[in-house]
Amino acid sequence: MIRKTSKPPRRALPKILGAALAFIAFLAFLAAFMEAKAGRELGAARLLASGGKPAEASVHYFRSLNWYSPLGSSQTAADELAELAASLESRGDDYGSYLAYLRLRAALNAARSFYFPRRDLLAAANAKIASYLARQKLGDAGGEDGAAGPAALERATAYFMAIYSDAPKTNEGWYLAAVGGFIAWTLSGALSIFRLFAPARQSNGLRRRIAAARGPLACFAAGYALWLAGMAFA
Amino acid sequence: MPELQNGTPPAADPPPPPTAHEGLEPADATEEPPVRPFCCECAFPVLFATAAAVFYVLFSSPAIGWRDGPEFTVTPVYLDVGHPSGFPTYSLLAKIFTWIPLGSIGFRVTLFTALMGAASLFVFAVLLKLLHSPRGEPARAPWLLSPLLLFALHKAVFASSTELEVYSLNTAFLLLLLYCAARWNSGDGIAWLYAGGFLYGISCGNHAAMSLYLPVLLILTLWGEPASENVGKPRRHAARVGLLAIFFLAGLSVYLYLLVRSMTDRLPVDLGRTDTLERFWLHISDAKDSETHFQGLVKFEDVAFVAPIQFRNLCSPLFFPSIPFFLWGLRSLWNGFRVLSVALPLLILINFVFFYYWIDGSSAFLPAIAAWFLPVSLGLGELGRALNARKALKPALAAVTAATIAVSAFFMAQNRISESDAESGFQSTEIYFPDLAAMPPESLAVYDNGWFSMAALQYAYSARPDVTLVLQTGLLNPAMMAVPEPEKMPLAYFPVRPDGKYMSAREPGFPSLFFAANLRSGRRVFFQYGTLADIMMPYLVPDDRYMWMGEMKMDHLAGIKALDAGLYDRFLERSEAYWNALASGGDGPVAVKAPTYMYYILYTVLEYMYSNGRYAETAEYAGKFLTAFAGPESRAFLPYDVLLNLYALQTDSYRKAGDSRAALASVEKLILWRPRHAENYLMLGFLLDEAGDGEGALEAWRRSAELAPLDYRIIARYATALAKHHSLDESAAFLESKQRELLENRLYDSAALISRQLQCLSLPPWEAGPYLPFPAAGPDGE
Repeated sequence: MIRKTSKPPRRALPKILGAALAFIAFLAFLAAFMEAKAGRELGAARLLASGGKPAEASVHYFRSLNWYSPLGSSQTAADELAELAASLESRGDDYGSYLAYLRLRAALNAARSFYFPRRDLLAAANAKIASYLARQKLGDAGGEDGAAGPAALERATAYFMAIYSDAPKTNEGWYLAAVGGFIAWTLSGALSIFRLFAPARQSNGLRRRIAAARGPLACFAAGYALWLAGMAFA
Repeated sequence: MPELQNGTPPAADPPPPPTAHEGLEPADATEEPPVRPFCCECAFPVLFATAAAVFYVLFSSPAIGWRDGPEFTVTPVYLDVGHPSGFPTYSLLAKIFTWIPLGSIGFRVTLFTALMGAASLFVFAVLLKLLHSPRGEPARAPWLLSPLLLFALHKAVFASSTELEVYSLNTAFLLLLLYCAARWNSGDGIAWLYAGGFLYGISCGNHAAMSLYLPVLLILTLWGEPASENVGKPRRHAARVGLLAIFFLAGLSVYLYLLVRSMTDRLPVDLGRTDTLERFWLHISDAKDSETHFQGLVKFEDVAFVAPIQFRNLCSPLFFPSIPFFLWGLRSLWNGFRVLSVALPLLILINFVFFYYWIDGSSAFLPAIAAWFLPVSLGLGELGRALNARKALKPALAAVTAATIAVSAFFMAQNRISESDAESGFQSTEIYFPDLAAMPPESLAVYDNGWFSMAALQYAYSARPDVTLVLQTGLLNPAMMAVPEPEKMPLAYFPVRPDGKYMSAREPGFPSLFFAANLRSGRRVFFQYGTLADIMMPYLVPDDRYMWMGEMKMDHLAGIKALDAGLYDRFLERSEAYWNALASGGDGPVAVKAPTYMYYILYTVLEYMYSNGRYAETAEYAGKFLTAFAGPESRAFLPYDVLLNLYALQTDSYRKAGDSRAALASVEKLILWRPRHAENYLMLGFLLDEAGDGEGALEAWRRSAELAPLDYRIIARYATALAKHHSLDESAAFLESKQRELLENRLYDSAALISRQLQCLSLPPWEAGPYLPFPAAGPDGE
């Protein structure tokens, strides 16, 4: 018989609640810290923009967006960067406008998680970037008066729009399987070892030890399989 | 596996020999070891690690960082294959953090690094409490606070916890392994030994350098068994080692990641193409890059110089005060955990021997730093215990704690911890983003040094999805490197031949095939290497048709050296021929720029001219390049060596061409352009010295030394001049003061060179000869 040790009173719930609270507190700290950083960068960007330095301002808007949080200064930075790009375009600074839209697009993409932030701004930025690249591609032949004509420009714009609208291809489900499987087999592997070789079971035979570690061993096997599958299909 | 099949308890074996550990633990080996209330032990470590996590996060790099940081941003996002040895454990664990819905992906992954830094502090604290336990009195928080603060704020620990790298996870693994070993050694059961083996395998998947510490693990395994586990029979020892190996291999199987991920053929970043067993082995063993990635073992003739520096780095600037505590801690370990008292110094030794060349790369010595701090912390704990034992000395304990906190603050200041350091994490995005944005539509971008940053911008930020990125890293592709004997580098990373093997960099057609393969797509190519290239290329390639030279560097050098006349024109012709040949594969490149390696090519051209006695021509072309590099319009960053050598070359060429006035005029012009550049005054000094104006030269070199106070070459030159024109004593005093200054600034290599110069002062300085770019004599026999 496997010697059963007396179980301590169940205290799992307070521990889980404590861990959850600690995690929430950590996220709150992170959010506050990032908001402070994003706000400071936003302030710098506004100062530069009002000082007639749009190129430098767009760098600081980009920085502010790098401190992205679903609420707060980074959202304002996204809106203002889009406005800056539009104003540059209206002033005839095509390249400056393109660069600002490109920064907006890049920063929003880098802030993606299971979701894409600010799809509205992203779509607008993609359209502007596609239009600029199409004009670049066609060169002197492009544009309303160019040899290629507006139809060619439209086709080229649509072509680039298709490339830029295509979100980065990731298969987060399989990634989750790979990472979850890895965590499962490493933790259950360690747990299996402690079950198999617990001092209390030193006198037990192999079968009894394996029986005691049945759960973790099964978890190890399942985790390993999930890990391999996740890596293969992700 | 007798241990599993045989139900006989170990107590039936002959009684084990007594160990020092037994004097502190119950002597009855069959008695169940006391259960450690782990949660109670953890309260202080958890609090400290939490505070450290908050602190590290405050200073974490906000974006994709620098050096390997961009690569380590991308590899977790798509579960890619990084540079050798692949870092699968890191990628799998860091992937979790890429899902946090705050900040950029780069910051999220850095967050993982910071938390792993905090985790290593947690394990460090728990381990310390365990190591204190044999003394019967539990370790108290004030005793632990001092050493933990010192460790947490050590320059290497702080840097590895705030920059995107794998080292903080590595340290956490190492400390966890030591914890497992200590539990096994203290009689808590053999499960700790096997768990350690399993963990060791997984940790090797984080950084292959962990495998170097196998001797430490073997010592902990074979010599570290407690009395209660002493099996006494060789067969059972063998069974134990066999089981340990099985668990180790189970952990090490994390490397299957490389095979499986690479076989999917869907990775944006695959730096090994590890889809065959041959390439898999080459990647995980670092075989194809070892000459550059791993710089070899210690040279015994340098031990006297290197070892003191390495030791000081362990606990700089408190190395000497820490020695007594280290010894005290070792003595304490000897009484409780004897095997660790041997294993920790061995770990330090192994770290030093294998990373001998990385004198200033403090992250490489994190294992040694942790192994040094453990006994030091124990020693400090012993001091705390001694002070705590007498009521009258308790204020002294408070004073020691306060002093350590003050010293930690000093550590922090010394490490120049500031918010601006964290801001440098934007460097990659802000330097490379404009490059990427400026590329023509649908370009093919070929990068080498900046590739990691570009990869992060492309795959984490998705900045320019119409641009295709091609990797040519210097580290991974010997064809790109200025290796003296490239044939010794067995394989190149790129491209892979149809038979699945790597193509040799020396194989005929390697560059052409590479280009043809890419140009056949008909797409335009954009090779970019920064502003230096913009300035350089008009001198080398006519019109705007830039040509990327790095790929064909070796071919070019061979061709250039074979030429005997019309060198420069032939060089241009050759470039043009390449351009035409490549362009025939498709639409051809429209904007191809030069790599930073270009200056090597340039320098070789000039060197060839110089060594063939074409001094006027050398001076003329050197002048052109100097105008490009150092002129008022220049935005170029040029390595100091190159700039200095160009000045020296031009001056010497003018001098040999008999036109010293032109040389002087050239340098004076440079001083006008760049009045705060030390090297300009350095060259002025040379010219004045040549003209016999010794005091003028001395003044020029003094000015040069003022502008670049830590440049050992300028220091050496000024000291030589002082010795020549004033006195040896004055020169020696200057050198000694500079040596101290260099050491204070951790410029150990320079300090060593100055030290050698000091030793040479007994020789007449003029016998050493002037500083010249080319030691070999020219054809005129000078």
